[in-house]
Amino acid sequence: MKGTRRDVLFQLEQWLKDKEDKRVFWLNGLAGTGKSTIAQTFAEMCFADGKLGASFFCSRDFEERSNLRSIFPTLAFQLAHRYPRFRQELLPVLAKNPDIGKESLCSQMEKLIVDPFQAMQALTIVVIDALDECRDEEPASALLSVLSRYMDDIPLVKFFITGRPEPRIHSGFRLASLHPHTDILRLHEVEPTLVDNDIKLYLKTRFTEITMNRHDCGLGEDWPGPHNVDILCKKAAGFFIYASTVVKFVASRHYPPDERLAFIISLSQDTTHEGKSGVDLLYTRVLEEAFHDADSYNHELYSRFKSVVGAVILIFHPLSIRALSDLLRDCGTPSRISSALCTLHSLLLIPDSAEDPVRIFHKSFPDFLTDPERCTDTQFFIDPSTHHNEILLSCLNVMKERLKRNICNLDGQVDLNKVKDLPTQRATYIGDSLGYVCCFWTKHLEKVSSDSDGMEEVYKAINKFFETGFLFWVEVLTLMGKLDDAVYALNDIQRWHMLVSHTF
Amino acid sequence: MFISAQTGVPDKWTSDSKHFILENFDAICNSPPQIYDSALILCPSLSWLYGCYSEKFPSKVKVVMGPAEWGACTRTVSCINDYTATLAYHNNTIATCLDNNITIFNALTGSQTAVLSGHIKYVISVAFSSDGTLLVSGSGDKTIKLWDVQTGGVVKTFYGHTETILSVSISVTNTMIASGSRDEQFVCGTLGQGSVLS
Repeated sequence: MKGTRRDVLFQLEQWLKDKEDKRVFWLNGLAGTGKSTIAQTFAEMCFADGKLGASFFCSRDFEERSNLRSIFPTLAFQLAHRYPRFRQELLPVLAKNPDIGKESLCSQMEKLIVDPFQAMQALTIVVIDALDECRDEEPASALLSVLSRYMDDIPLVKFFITGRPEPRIHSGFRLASLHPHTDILRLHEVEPTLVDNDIKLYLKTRFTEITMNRHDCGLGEDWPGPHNVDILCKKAAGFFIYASTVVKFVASRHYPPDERLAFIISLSQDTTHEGKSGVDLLYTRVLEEAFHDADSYNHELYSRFKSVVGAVILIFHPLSIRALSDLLRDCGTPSRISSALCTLHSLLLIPDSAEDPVRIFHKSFPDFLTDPERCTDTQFFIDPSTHHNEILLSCLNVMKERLKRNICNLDGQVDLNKVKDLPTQRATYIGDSLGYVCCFWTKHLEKVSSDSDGMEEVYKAINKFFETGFLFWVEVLTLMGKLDDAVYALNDIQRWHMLVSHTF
Repeated sequence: MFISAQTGVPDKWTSDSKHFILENFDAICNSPPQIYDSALILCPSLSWLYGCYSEKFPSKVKVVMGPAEWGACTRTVSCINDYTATLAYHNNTIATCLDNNITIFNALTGSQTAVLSGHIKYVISVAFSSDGTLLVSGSGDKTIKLWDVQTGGVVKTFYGHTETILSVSISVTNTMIASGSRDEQFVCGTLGQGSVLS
């Protein structure tokens, strides 16, 4: 938001102007300190100045945005769009290497980025946000090791990278050839008063917007007043995610904003929540508020909440409300699922359409819900193993009911490469829920702890799957172009079987 | 070139299923009905999978004299080149020399995962380091290259031989490389610098 994080942005501008050899900037920050927002603002700033070459915002929620191998092709595409000279160099490379997307990171970097840049020689900035959200199995971030190797070949390019201080990223930036060129700003170590001023400014602006949008509620012009803003700021303790969650909570269309705010303000650090950080306390209270008119003995309501939210935070790929209702048969129709989720709109992004995926606003929410130390209320705590087990059984059930021979109604001995409208056929006959289930059921199996009570039920269901559905499953994965995954899935099952075989 | 079956737990589901997918990989990928029309029919008669599904999907065609059990070979990967020179295997990763490039395959699925290009003449010999992170290669271009397997980049190129390099290997500690060449020299070098021993 305009006017906030001036100190950080100022430091970034200094870094840009700096002629010294710091060509990489690492914005290091804990969850909820506002890294991505800064990255976005910075990218917009550079874009306005005509300096932005390309940007990549990693996100674990999207397959293509969490894949390391999409980073360089995406950057190259944007750079080619931006610089005609770059495009001129890139086109022959693409013609020569049509499968470059599958090649190693090094050869991608070399062919798609380094070579065209060397011919071009222009000052450029590249922004890569949330590197920690990329799938990467290396002990030191693979992207950073590639960067360290080639950085000296493209001295005119500056890289702005954000990421949580995870070991992989730490060791990446510690690489001998990268370290001396890197500037680091630790967002969680920025002067607290500066952060507090930013949070206050953010809250004031957003509250003014609420006042204007909800003039029917009779909110005073200076609502909610500096005193209340100070209290909220203190509670936020430097975490922007706190402030933005409060704003979403207060802005709910279904309640008077002043009542909602009073509720948050009244939350004192009472004894039951002693030792909790601001965000955890806020999450707890938002959940309690969502259930405030529910009878605490209404187990059905709580268990539906757990099933639905458990699925939303534990699935490996975001699903729409309709797909969730296909998966969670016991939780009922899409509208039932919607109603279980609607009170959580300050924590989850719930689209209006039942066809669009439900997403999590911030990773700190699932982190909170699945940690018994942080989420101490057992009515909300989501035990990953139990819920993976539940999802797994649902997956096996969906496959049992829906898998069949020639699921896409293709003619005879069809050549898959010649089917024109395969994506449409897939969407019609396989769809999101069955597609998800076929790809990911063994991932849920892996997360079920081997000593859980339901093991026998799982074993039986898997046995049934192999005896009746296996060939159909192979067919679906083939139609989705993911037959490789079938082999990995079978390895997952093999590993699981080794773990549990002593029980049978 | 073939990838040998990995026999793990005596688990009929997964071992049969993997054989089934890998042996018929290309056929199924091209045309899913092949699952029922050929892959199933060609299953060994004593396999669990055949017993489970053959009656559900009866076929006019029958195998009269086929193998009763799965063989050792699970997937055949066809290469465009005339021959495959050398293979190196480490932890589910296979490196092969195909002309000037080294191609890396995933040994579990047989899919190609990367192509390491850099040598300017045919590659004759490859070897993995004991931890699988490095790969050393010797080529007709008289150089030895050390590769980072994960990123696919050249870590270092060693010059010194005056003829085609026929064989390479890397020490357990990842510190030394030995190479043999047509120049009748045998070279043993540390990764820092190369020195001729004899």
